[in-house]
Amino acid sequence: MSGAAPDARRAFLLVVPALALLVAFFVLPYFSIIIMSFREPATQGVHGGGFTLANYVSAVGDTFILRKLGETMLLGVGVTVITLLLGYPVAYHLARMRSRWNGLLYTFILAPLLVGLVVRTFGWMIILSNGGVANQALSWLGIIDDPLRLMNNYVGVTIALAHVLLPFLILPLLANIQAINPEVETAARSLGASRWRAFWRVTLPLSMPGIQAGAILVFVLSISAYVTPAMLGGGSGRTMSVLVVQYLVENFRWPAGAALAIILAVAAIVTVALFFALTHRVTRKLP
Amino acid sequence: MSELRLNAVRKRFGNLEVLKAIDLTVANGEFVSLLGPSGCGKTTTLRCIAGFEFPADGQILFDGVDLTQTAPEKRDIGMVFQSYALFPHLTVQENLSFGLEMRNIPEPERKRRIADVLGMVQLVGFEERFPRELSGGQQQRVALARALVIEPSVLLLDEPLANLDAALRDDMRFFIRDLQQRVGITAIYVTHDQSEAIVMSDRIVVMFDGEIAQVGSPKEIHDRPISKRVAEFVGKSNFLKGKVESRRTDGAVMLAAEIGPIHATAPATTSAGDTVECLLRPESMRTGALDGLENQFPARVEDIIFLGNSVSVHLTIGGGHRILALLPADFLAVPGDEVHIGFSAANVWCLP
Amino acid sequence: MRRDPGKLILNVFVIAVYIFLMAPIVLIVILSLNSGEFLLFPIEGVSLRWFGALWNSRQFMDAIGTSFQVAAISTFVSGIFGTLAAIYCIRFAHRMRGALRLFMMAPLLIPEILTAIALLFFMYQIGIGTRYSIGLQIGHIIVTFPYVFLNVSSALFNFDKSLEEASRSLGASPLMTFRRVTLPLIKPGVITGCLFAFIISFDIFNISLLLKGIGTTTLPVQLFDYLRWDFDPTAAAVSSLSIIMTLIAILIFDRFVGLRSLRF
Repeated sequence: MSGAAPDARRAFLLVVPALALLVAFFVLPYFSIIIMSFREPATQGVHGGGFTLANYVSAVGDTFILRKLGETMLLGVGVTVITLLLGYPVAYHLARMRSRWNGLLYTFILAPLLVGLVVRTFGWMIILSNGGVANQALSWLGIIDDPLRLMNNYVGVTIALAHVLLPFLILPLLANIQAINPEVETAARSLGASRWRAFWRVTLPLSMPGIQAGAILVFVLSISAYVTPAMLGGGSGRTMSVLVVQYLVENFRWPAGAALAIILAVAAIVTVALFFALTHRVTRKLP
Repeated sequence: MSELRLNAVRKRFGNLEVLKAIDLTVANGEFVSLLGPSGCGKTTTLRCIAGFEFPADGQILFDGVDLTQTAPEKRDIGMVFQSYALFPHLTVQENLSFGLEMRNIPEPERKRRIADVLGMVQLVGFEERFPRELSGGQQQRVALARALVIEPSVLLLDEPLANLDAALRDDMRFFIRDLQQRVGITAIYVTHDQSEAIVMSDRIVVMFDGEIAQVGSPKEIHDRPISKRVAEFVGKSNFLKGKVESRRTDGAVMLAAEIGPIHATAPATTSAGDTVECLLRPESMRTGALDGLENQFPARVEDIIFLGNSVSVHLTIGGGHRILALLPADFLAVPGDEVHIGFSAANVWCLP
Repeated sequence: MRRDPGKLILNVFVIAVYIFLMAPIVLIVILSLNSGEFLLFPIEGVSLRWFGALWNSRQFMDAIGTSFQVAAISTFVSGIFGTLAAIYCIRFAHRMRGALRLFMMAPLLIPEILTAIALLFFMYQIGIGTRYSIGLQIGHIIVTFPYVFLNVSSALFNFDKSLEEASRSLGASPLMTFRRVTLPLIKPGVITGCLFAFIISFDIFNISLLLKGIGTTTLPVQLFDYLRWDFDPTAAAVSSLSIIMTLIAILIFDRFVGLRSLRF
């Protein structure tokens, strides 16, 4: 075959294994969630024979589930806001830093991401439990007498999720800010803007795409997280994902669980679309 | 508009002394270039003037007012960056408006001033464009307009032409110089390109290793450099070694050089008996009509390179000394030809 | 010199966030060395007794074995499929490149829990269920595949095509060019992708939880189950073991390829 360009059709064989894998075990399974959510519930076997809308109707009519959905969305928004407030300064600092510590700090951001989720959440159990490190430190400092309840509620879940998902916010933002010419900020100062105004008027709008990417990632990952709320949420801090898994694994209510999963996914898509619409005005002008 | 003064400005980064007591005065309306190789401290000097770096020692005075520790936004400077640093999320109009908004200038006045300055840089009609929709030259002019619209007291330019292609760069040199003259603004221009500095400046400050090597008019810097290093940095050079035989009070000297006796010019510090090295610029050599030139030599052509508007010729004179001459393009010769070359005493400069 | 309070505040804040990021991980490692019975400070003394307990724990050792096996198979399959697909996408797909890329990345973009549920239903529908952990293995491959694809794609994308043209001009066939020029040069991308795939597979939880067969469990699921009933330093020992393994992988990797080349 020397001299001739490789046959494009033959080259297609390269992608066939991956395509086959994804279609068979990724695309088709997604259809089976949708189908399952319309199945009739049954006590014998995972689902009944016919199709029904009852799973959705009963879920939407259930105030407990609606409350859980609302709480989950709120948790997602809260975690996203916290990670933004914590992560932006870190991303900005690292993007603009010129020093030999650069590589080490990058490792500090990356390493938690590669350490397992269960392990990291376990670390937060050690810190947040009633006799845990946080309460020990606070009572040693004389700030509290009785231990604070930091676990088995949304407080612990929020803190731990913010920690778990922080790298997902920092990394896209870091890439974004690194791509912004640092001289535009200098230029703004030369034109009479204070450091704060230069940031507010120039750097922040230019880093909007990074904020957008990071925030969406963190939001979706936090509302779909299972491990962290399951380990730290206890009874009152149960999120929709915990509820779904409970339906599937403990109660064997597969059709109802499938409907819940789809309701969660739709709610996530709607929220992300709303967020997109809100930030669109700012990013529209960007290159 | 104002006069700018640097008094013994020092700056170090870690152990590296990047500025060693820089003294400089720039007069009102003057165009001064800081010229030097990369790492010589010229950009650091500019950033100290702008307020993006703070000197370890010394003062920076604008019209006699000490602004050494003042934040950049309070200095009333206009700055043009090598990367232009236009705000990519703002239109041309909004880019120009930025500095005016920071100064709380009311809307109608802003509009008027932006229109004026866009007229000056010939970009009327481009108000609603984004920077990415402009060519490099247009972006350059927007950057210039943005710095000028705030009517700063000093205009600082940091290698603004480095990213333009050659033809455009030549045009922009004259454009910037002309604009500066019309506005009458004090300008400081950082560059490593000696021809840029020579064409544009009233005065050139040559810097090496964090120190000022020489300050002078472009002609002084080019024809009367203070050292071999300055001479080599500013243009192509031939160096001739010799001994001063006699010296007149007006600086004219007679030299016993390697290539034979020559008439030359020397600074006041040179006296008879000194061994010196002289600079002879390739472009100051002549062929053909040599009337009135004090120095004339037979020479042999070694090779010729055609440069378009001139030719670069390697010659051997005075028993095997190779020198370079830059001659008009109509110089017709082939390697091996014997020719006569001449140069005036004023063009042979004994380095102090 | 000028003092800069703004910069100082930023630095202090940033240091605090780094401490927040590292604190739980560091605490686990310290507490795993505790000679006492509880996961509490102050630690009573330094010992490796909980690592010994781990060594004698049948459940944990089995789970570690399973995790290694699943991660190795996932890395192998994802490595091959991902590299081939990336080559096709960057070099041959033109009109469909954007859509194809998005499709290949989809398992990364869609929450893992949904993929786990979908796969669980699907495996039951085709009659395999959770037998032999086939679904678990396939799920791991699906989720790790995009990491290889992404890293090889970006290596190919940054690859100077004129090098291949130079090789062809010197008389090498396309196949020879691929073997002698392209492959060695994109190797860092392949290695990065595979390393990533391995680490990610080791961490995957939701798919393992829903698709594990009876009697087989991966390390994260085993740790999760253990922590429901027990809260002792054995959990810290197994956690710090996995932390140390990850750190070693990162260090080796940073040495040879550079962390900055990782792609998410």
